[in-house]
Amino acid sequence: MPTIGRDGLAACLLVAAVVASCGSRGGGAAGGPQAAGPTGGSAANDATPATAGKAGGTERAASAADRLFDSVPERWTAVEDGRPVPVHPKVRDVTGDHGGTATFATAGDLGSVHPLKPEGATAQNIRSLVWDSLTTYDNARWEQIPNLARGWESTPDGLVWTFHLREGVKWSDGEEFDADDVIFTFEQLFHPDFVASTKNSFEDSQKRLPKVEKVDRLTVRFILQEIDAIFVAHVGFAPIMPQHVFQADADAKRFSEVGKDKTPEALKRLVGTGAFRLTDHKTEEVIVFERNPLHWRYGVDGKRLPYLDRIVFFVVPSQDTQFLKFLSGDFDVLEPLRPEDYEKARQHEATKGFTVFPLGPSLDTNYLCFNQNPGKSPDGKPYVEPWKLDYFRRSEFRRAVSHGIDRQKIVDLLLEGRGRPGYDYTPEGNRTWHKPDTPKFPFDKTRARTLLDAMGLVDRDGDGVRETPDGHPFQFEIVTNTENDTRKKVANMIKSDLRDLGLDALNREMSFKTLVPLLQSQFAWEAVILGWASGVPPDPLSGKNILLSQGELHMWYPQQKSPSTPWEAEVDRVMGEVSRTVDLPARVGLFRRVLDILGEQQPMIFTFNANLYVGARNRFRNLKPTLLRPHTYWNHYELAIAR
Amino acid sequence: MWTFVARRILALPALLLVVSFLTYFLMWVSPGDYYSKFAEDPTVNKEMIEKLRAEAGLDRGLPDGWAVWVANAVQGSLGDSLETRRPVAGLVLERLGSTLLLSVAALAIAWGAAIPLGVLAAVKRGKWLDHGCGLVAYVGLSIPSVFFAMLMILLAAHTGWFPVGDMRNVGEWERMGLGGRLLDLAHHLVLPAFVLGTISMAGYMRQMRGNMLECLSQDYVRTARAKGLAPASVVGKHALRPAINPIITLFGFSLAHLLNGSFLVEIVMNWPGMARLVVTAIFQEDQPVVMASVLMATTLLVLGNLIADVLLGLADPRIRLQ
Amino acid sequence: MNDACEGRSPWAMMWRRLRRNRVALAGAAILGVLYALAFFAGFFAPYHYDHQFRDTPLAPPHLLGGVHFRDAEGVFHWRPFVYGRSLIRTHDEHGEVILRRVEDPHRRHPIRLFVRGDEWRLLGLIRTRVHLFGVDPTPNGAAPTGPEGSPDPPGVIYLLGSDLYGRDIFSRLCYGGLVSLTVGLVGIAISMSLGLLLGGIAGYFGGRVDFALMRIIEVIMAVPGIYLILTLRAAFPRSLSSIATYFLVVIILAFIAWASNARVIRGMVLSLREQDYVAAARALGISHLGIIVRHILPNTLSYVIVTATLYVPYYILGEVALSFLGVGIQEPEASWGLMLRDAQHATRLVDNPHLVMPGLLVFVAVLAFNFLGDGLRDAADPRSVLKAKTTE
Repeated sequence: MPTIGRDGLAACLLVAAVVASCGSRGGGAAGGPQAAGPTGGSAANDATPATAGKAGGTERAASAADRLFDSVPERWTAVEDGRPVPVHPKVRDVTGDHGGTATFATAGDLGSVHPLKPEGATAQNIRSLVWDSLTTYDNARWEQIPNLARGWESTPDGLVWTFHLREGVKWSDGEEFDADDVIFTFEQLFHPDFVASTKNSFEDSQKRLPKVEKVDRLTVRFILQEIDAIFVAHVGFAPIMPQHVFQADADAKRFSEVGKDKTPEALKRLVGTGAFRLTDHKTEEVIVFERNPLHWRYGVDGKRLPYLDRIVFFVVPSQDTQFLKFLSGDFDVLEPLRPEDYEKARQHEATKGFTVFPLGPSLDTNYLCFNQNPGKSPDGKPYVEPWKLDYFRRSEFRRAVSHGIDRQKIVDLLLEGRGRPGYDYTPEGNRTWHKPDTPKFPFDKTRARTLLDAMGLVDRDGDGVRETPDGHPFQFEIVTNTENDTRKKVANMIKSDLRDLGLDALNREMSFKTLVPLLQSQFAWEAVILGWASGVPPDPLSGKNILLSQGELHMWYPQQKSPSTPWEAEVDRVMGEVSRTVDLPARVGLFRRVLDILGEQQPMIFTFNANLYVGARNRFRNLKPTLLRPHTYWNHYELAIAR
Repeated sequence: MWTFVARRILALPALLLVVSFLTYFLMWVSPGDYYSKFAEDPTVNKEMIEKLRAEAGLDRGLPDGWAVWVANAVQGSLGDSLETRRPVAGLVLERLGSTLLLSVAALAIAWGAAIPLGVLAAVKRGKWLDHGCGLVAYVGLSIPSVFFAMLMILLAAHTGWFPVGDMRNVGEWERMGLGGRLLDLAHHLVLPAFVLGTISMAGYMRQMRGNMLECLSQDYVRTARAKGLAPASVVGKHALRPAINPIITLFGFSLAHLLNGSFLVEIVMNWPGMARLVVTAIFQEDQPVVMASVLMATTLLVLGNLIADVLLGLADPRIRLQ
Repeated sequence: MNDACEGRSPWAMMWRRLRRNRVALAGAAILGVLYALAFFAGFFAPYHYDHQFRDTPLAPPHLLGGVHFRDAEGVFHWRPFVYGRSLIRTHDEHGEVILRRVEDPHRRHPIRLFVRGDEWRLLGLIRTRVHLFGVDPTPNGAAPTGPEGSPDPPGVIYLLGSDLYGRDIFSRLCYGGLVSLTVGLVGIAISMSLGLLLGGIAGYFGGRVDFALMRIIEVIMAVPGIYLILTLRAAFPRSLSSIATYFLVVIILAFIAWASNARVIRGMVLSLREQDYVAAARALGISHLGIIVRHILPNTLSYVIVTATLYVPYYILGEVALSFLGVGIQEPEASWGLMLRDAQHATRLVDNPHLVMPGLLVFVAVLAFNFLGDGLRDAADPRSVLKAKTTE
């Protein structure tokens, strides 16, 4: 689902912020990685979208089978009732040869590469190359899988979690990994002085953090005070850091500074258990990773992973330049390939030796939101003029606006038709959480006009703008951030649509850094166009902050003391249940109620979902592009170059 | 003249002081600062942001913050970039190198083409060659660099003859030998240097032609012609040298504008030079980077102008610098 | 000026010389056309700059073979017409959507003069709907229907093609010219007034005033222009109303330009004030202001005119740079720099080369200003003719 959890949000925010500097890159919460799609739909429903792509290179991943590798149970077990049982194998029918370099492009440069506190979307995405967490997410199968922990169990009340660590894992400097490193990492993360969005995933509704304790050399235990339905996923947000390297920083109260310095000498200190080591960084040019020869994963062929010698990210701020450079063969993988570039890419596919992977409609959304905040600024001025607020808070008004937006035209113009009108908080790309039959208010100008007329909004003086009964011409301002080209274009088109209805909308662009305080602390805005990028895992709990009425990202009226409407109260209640229920089908069932309410009430008027495409040279093996970020290198340790 | 040079150089610190104040002031009045964007992240608390601000010295305001900056700068510390966390001095110098590489290559093209073309146009005055050069000059003077650079990017993408932007093949860079690196650099340099070179060539060529025409109409040249010297020798020996002298001044000024000229081309062509650094830094309010870049650019401009003046003084003894 | 001899005043001589310079006159003519298009944009542009015809995005220019006399059946029509466009939605072999936008030879939209269309204001005052030209929105002479009554998208004439939103690029160029071309005029007016005033004061009075002003000028001129422009721009909010953005752009550019103008004028005034006739005026007891206004400034006028002409391109290009970097004029307003930014989308540009029109127009305008400026300089200073007249 298209939610951005706090982590997701932080990433998005940072992306957007990075975008700010670079002009028209997509990226970020709504802009970026465009995606979407349609047509066939098969890709979206396949377990591994990769298989849906026409295999240009015959070697490409056809791992549909859910084979378990009982031959390697020691490495791949979870523990239930104290007895090891096989869980989904991490390494599937993957084979490859050692050697080779894979090159990618990234829009933003690397900020601080602190594993618990990455700055910028790039740093966020590449963390997993260097550091492993206890658990991780399999983007192709959409499930949480063991990582540094080979298994885990919880007490029946769901409050005590025990994680069993993998034996024989070495840090890249040769030291042994054990429970002390895990304890060290979580103690630092939970330290009151340490501020990072990673930490928030662990806070319960009373902002309490779990206790973490060492059971033995390879066992750790977390003690919660409240059930956390996706605690295993949350544990996966915290990459484990080596105590023997960073204890000194922690003692010197410099733990937050880790990763800021990116000189080659400083990079040597970034010891991890991951498949790669960050070895070189040239500002705004390139980020280089080299194979960690001590990495713990093995392929079924018995070879030590990773297969690749190097992974290189080029920093190319403009998506446009990225596409051109991909076409000219400057790098291997383009993620995402914009829907509007799809046709051109297909034309060059054969001659330039790459394949375009259509991954279906993306999980990212774009929406228009009206300010429903009835509060006043400290000097007594209402955030929104009362007569306007009155309309903004009426669901009929928001439905009328939804009827007024010609979503198909947005898709046709901005995405060359490769996307679809979007109505949902959890778009159809989110195959676990999407609900197809939520209430929708599609483009229908007549209906929109009828609704507006019925609310007393009528053009009384014939100037083309509707007035309220007491004579206010209905004028309002739609803001969006100037860094995000897609949003600006959507704003421009929505404005034009609404003017057609007689609502005098104006556009205003501002930089992300100006927009943010406006939305978060000044509250004096009328309408905004934003988007959510999906988090991994795509669980609605990562969007708690959006859905709960006291949430900071409850855009239309954030940080409410108590819910201002019955439907918001209902959402709060259901979300509480969703977070306390562990059984997935039950959670999905509960969450459908939230989706229906959001559809009915339209606090966020969703507009479109773009198709997601990626392009990759044919020389890759084991490439499994997925809808979830990072789309192509989430399984970096398996990627190999075909000989 | 040397006192003149000494005075100008001595005045430089004062100038830099004022410019630094101006820059600091502008960054200070600009809405928000580098840390504003973190406010949208609900997981970052206010005290944390304040702490970060304090660490970066952004809470000091004017004039204290500026005074502290100056004090640090005098001791040789320009601070760290808030964005990349790297020492600013290294960052700026690295980018300055890239920009100068591009500018100098462009300059070489511009001058290499401008002098012979200017001379030829003057000698062939009124002929098609002259008209052609005139046309090229006008085009070069008038074409927006953004537009020209975009066309060249399209050309590169279309033909595949040249890399689409960038300064080097960073992925392979570490493994190339010296020769490979030079070739790679040159390959990447061709288009941006051509764009910049063509644009600045126009002015020099016009100037060169004008000077040459003036010299050709001088009495001593006519005398030389009347003596029956070969036309080539007349042009080469008698007219060329005096015609080049004033151009030398222009050369000085072109040094001064090394940073300015390539700005937009760097942006369009993804050249990792000062332009991208500065644009990013300004819009993100990465204050230490902005301060250092502006001062660096100012220093270069002032020194360039100084060189121009000195060259002028050397070229034309009638001018006395004071 | 008023003491000029009949027919032989410096101004008349300048005019005579200028008239003989065909290149300069051509430049002036081009500029005349561009400014007329900009000032009467509402009239010459068939549509409002933000009129989005979303059924017909990225249409190729009608000027390049899109205006017909003979229809698909071969029937000749005296009134030229353009075809309507339609959208064909297909799928490629991978099942992905492919959109094709093609001319529909069954929908003929005749071109008419003086048609009624989007409302605009003549000189910002008089409301009118008359446009120089346009096409019938309904095809084949069908009766006009309500906004949603017609099944076909409206017919639109795109002389220079349409942009992503189906807006008419020609119309946007006209309206955009109003921004891009007047930025120069307003900017020059500001920077020249400042330059004349402060340069005049510095040169005439000398002393401490001169010293202070010169130091300020030195500081401004010591910072490379684009750095100063961007830093200045950053000091203001990114989001401003369109009119505020416009003036901000002008003022920033003028703020930088006045310094060099003032410096030259100071130099001129410095030498002029030593002239005998100034001494005479002073002896007659004429006030400082009188001397500056009556005797000194008029003598700088030829410099002012020539420089102004040669400086306009600086403003045009400055606007392009700011809008291109995303901190100048904002959508949906039009300016040439902003429109050029759209052309940055390389794949779109390859398929729709007409998107570079704004760049071409900037080029033409700057070229014309250079032609005219050089012509004026030659005319104002005959001694420089030899030097500068390189390209007639």
